[in-house]
This record gives sequence, C-alpha cells and structure tokens, in this order.
Amino acid sequence: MPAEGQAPGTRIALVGPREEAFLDNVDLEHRETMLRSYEEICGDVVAFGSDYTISREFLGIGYLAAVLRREGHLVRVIGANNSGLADDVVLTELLTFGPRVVGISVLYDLQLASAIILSKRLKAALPGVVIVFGGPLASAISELLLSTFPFIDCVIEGEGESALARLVEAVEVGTELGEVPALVHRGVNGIVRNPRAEPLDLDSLPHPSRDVIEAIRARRLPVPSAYLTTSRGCKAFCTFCTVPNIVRGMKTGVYRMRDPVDVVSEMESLVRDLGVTRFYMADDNFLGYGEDSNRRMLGLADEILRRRLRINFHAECRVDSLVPDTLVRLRAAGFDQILFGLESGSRRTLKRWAKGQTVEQNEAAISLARSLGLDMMPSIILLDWESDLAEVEETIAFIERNQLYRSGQPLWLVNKLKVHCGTAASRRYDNVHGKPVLPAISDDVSIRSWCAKATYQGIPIENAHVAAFWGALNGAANRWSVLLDEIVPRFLKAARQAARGADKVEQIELVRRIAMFRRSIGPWLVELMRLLIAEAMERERRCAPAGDWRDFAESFVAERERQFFAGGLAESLREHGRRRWFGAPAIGSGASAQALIGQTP
Amino acid sequence: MTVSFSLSRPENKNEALTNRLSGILRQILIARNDLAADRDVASSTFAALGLTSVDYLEFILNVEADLNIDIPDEAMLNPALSSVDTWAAWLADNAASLQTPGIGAA
Repeated sequence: MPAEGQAPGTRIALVGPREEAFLDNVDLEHRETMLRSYEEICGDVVAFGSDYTISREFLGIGYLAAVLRREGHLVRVIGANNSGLADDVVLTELLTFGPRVVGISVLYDLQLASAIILSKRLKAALPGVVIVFGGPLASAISELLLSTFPFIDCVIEGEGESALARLVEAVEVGTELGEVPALVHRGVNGIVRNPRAEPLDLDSLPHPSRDVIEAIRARRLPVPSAYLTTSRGCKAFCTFCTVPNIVRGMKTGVYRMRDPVDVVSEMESLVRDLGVTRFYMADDNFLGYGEDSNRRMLGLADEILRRRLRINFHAECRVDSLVPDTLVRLRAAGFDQILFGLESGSRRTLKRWAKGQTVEQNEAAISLARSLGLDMMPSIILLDWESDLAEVEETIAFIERNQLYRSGQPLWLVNKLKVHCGTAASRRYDNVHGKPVLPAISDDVSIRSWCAKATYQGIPIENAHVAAFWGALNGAANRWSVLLDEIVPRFLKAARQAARGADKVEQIELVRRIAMFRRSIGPWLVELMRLLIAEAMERERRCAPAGDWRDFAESFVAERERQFFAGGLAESLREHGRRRWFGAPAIGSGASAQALIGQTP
Repeated sequence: MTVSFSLSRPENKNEALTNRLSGILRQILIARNDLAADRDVASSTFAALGLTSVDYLEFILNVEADLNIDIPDEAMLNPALSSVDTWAAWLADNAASLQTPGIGAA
C-alpha cells in the first residue's frame, strides 16, 4: 500500500470482453448465440429456479484486481458480457477512467474479436496506454497476436497475478520488461518470451475482488452464484482442454490446493457481506487427486458444517476422483450438483482424446452420483472432426443406457468438439491439415474473419456420413433450443402475469403442457439420434453417398411438437397469447432465431 | 382449491406447509417419471432434484393456487429459496403480508 501522503498507485482497468458468436459458422450451435447479460436473464421471469443463478463472473480478473489493490493501485473491473455492455460503452468507460494499463482477459474464442477491436479503438483514442492480454486463449496465441496487431503491447502467459503486478511496476518506473515473468513482448530483435515464474502459492493470494457481484447487488438484482476456486490446475492431459497448455513446462505445482479453512472463510464472508447462497466451484477438477485431496475435501465439508453455513454448491469433477464417503460428507455440506466430464461412451474416442478414464468408470460415477441424490450434469462431446460412425453410435448407446437424456439440459448432449488453440487437438489438426491460413487485416470485418480462422471455427467433419448425421441432429437441436430459450420464456412470463390475482387454472394447464413438452425433448432427442445414426450406418454399409436428413429431422421435430400443440408450439403459444394477452410479443424475432430455424417473425 | 388449516405453533405451521409443498413438488416429479420423486423432496434443493425453470414455474403456480396467494417476483427470484423447506419457512414468515387465507387460517 502507498504510505500516507503518497500518491495513489497506477490506474489499471481489467476487462472481461463481450462475447460474440461466429454467425457464419454453418455448424453454429444455438446456445452460443444466447449471450445475454445477467440483467436480461433475470428480466425473464422464466429465469428462476436453478437455471439463472450463474452469472459470468470473471474470477481470474477478480484475483488480478485483488492483488493489484493490495499493492495500492486503483483498479476498475469491467465485465462487459456480464453487464451487457456494448463496445462503445466499454470504451467510454475506459476513457473516462483514464487507465495507464489495461488488462484484457481472453478466455475463449467468442471473446477474441471484441477484445481485439476494443483494443484497436482504445489505442487510437489513448495512445499512451499499455494494453496487455491474458487468459487461456491469449496465452495460446501470444506471438500470433503480437505479430498481427501492433496495438496489443504484450501478453501474459499462464498465471497472471504476479506477472501483472510486476508489469505495472515496470510501467510505473519505466524499466525494461525483461524482468517481468511470463511476459511475451516486442524486443529489439523481435518478439521476446520471458521465462515463467514459479507457480504461485494459492494461500498467499488475497481473496478475489467481487466487483461483479457488488455491481449486481447495486442494481438490486438477485445475487448470483459466486464463482470460487479451491484449487488450480489438472494432472490430466485431455487433448481438447486448454489447461495442459497453462501448466506446460511446470516441474511442480501442476495441481495446487488452497487451505480448506481459508476457502470456507471466503465463503462465509460472501454469505455475510454479499448475501451469496450458492457457489459455483470453478476448479478444473474439484475433487482432486489422491489422499491429500481427499483429506482436503473432508476438511472443507467439515468446516462448512462446523460454521453452519447454509449454502449449496456445484462443482466439476473427473469420474476417477470419486470417494463415496467423501461425497456423502460433501453432500451434507451443500454439494448438490455435479458436472462430470464423461465426454464419450466410446473407448476408442476416450483414448484418442487422452481422457484417461474408461466407459466403465463413467457408468460407475453416474450410478454413484444418482444414488447420493446429486443432480448429475453430464458433459458429453458427441463427436469431433475425426469421428467415425461406430464411435458416435457407441456414445449414443451410452446415452441411452444411462438415460443421460433425462438431465435438465438434454440439448447439451448435442455437442461437437471445439478445437481450442494451444491444445493437443489443435496441434493434431495442424499436422493433418496444416495451420489455418489467416486472412489479411484491413477493417473490423476482416478482424472477425481472422478470429474465426485463427480459432478453428467451422472446420469440416471428415466422414461425410458423420457430417450428415451432425447437420441434421444439430438443426433439430437448434430448433428445440430456440423454442426453449427464446420463445417459451416470453410466454411463461406472460402466463405468470396473467395468473396473478386471477383464476390460475388455465395458466397452470398451459405451463404444465409446456413442462411436459420440455421433459419430452430428451427422449425425442435420443430417438432422433438413433434414427439418424442407423440410417447413416446403413448407407455407409451399402457404400451409398451420404444423405441429407435435415428435412427429415425438421419434420420429426414438428411432428413431436404437434403431439402437445396441434399447430406447433410457437403458433399455439402465439394463438394463446392473442386470446389471453393482447399485445403478446412476436415470436422468433431474434436474429439468431431466424438464422437458425428460418422462421419469419 | 384452497385448504385452510389451523395451527397455533409456528413450527407446526411450517411442517404442515412443508408437507403440502412437498406433495405439490412430488406430483410434478411423478408426472415426469422422475426417480427423484422417491427422495426427500422437502430438504433437497431444486438443483439437486434437477428442476428446470418451467418445472419451477409449475411448482410456484400450483403453490399459489393451492394456498390462494400471489407470490411476488422478488421471492421467485431469490436464490436462497432453493428448496421446499426454505419456501415453507418463507411463506410462514410472510403470511401476513401475503394476506394468505391458506396459511395459518383458523
């Protein structure tokens, strides 16, 4: 901290950039277009229950802010996507604040274009500002960013806390950047990559700043789940995951844990000071590895129980980390929802992705979670660009056998592997097909095209039968997703209002019918998967050309809808709205909805 | 349908409410042929029971109809009300302001 009478530290802005979908991607999955702010989500009365409480809090930025504030700097946190801020608003806010350093955290592909375009405009308006990128995606393409975009000054690779603090020090006193760990920057002879520092002792870090939750409370919105990490890193080397790139080269500390007592102290202060009741454990593998991790988990559960915290939490876990007695204790402490990285029901696929777990382990984990009364959220990657039909069929059989389609979000099962930069999967793709050829940069449109190419958007599936299967299935899933995410909520909101102070029978009947329709989507989805894969396999067996089943899938979806709503769901709701709620909103008016289902508003 | 019940002690009132709300939720779980219907639906969180937002609205509307009340949106959006138990306690605490003939009526 600066001493009394001393000038305050440097002004630093930390930005979580807005997300934007790559709409030109023919394989676009609808959920990628649902990039609403937390306020919008809460504005839909449909957004209650367990669905809405997850904000997009940037915990990484929260840690950076806390470290910089501890050193006496003046830090502004701008969560553009969480607050629904347009680029113009972010830019104005930055210019008003007048930072000396701006850190932009780029976690994944959807944020890249907005981060780059924002940086370009910021540098033009404020030439003296130092713009530093960080986060998993920026770490993976650091040299490419610096060699392409002159307005980005440097990139911090991997853990950012101490590196950013050292960078700010160097900027303050005008010293060379060579001493800043993990910094990639421009030197006299080209781009320089500084060595990384030792992994941080997590217990030496302050608790992350909670600007996002404080801003949400200030707007009198419901308090969202708070993100929390109890550990960092992962010992697995799944080919599709960005974590191995972050821990690359570390001799120690690939997986590090926090003191569970301190974790619970952080939870307790969030409960007491911000009214948080639910936590989203953002650890790469919450349960960890081996006896040390198990003791830590037991310590965490016991401490939560000892302090009588009435909280619940969600966590993501590997299936080979489960210890039944520990799960029972964690369940008692509030653990109620577990996300398993199952990924596949095919041995060959799991092996190709170096998942390090078996189909049998997946199935045992599912049974255990269910027997303990945990809501089990299955993470499945149905296929990748190299999948063959037999592999996909094995995963469909796995979904059927374990009734994964009965989860609350069955459409998440329709998921194609994304090739993330810096992963083994991207290196494999480059080896087979060569690195993506990137377009020249001239304007913002070309920056977006560059980002799409650089992040492997829309890479084709090799097997034509698998591609046909995917095209039809994804089209059906998009249709259902548009109905559930964009159309149904407005009518539920209207039904809720109509039921207020009135006879609720008609509204209850409508909501019950929509609920039954929603619950039926899982079984329908797996039925469609089975029909499509059987047809594709038959064609391949006959050496026939791949079919086009998009019309068939569309008819399948429409026919199932009519089982509940004679004129189709959208039309029936619109008709219901005309009768019940004069001036009910138009259906399917969102651009993404039109693009995906070809519906005229 | 409104069913009135007479309870003098708050804990009994909560217990009766808990039972009624549990019954409503269990019917929803049974309708979706959900194994979770066999669980302790009173203390399990809605997240643990895998409730979606539509299920949740169905639950709330049925509670409103059953108790002949209107629940304010602020309560519906309150993440702390995450189970039947917590809802029952909240309804009991707010019975007066909700002017609820179904809660604690003589």
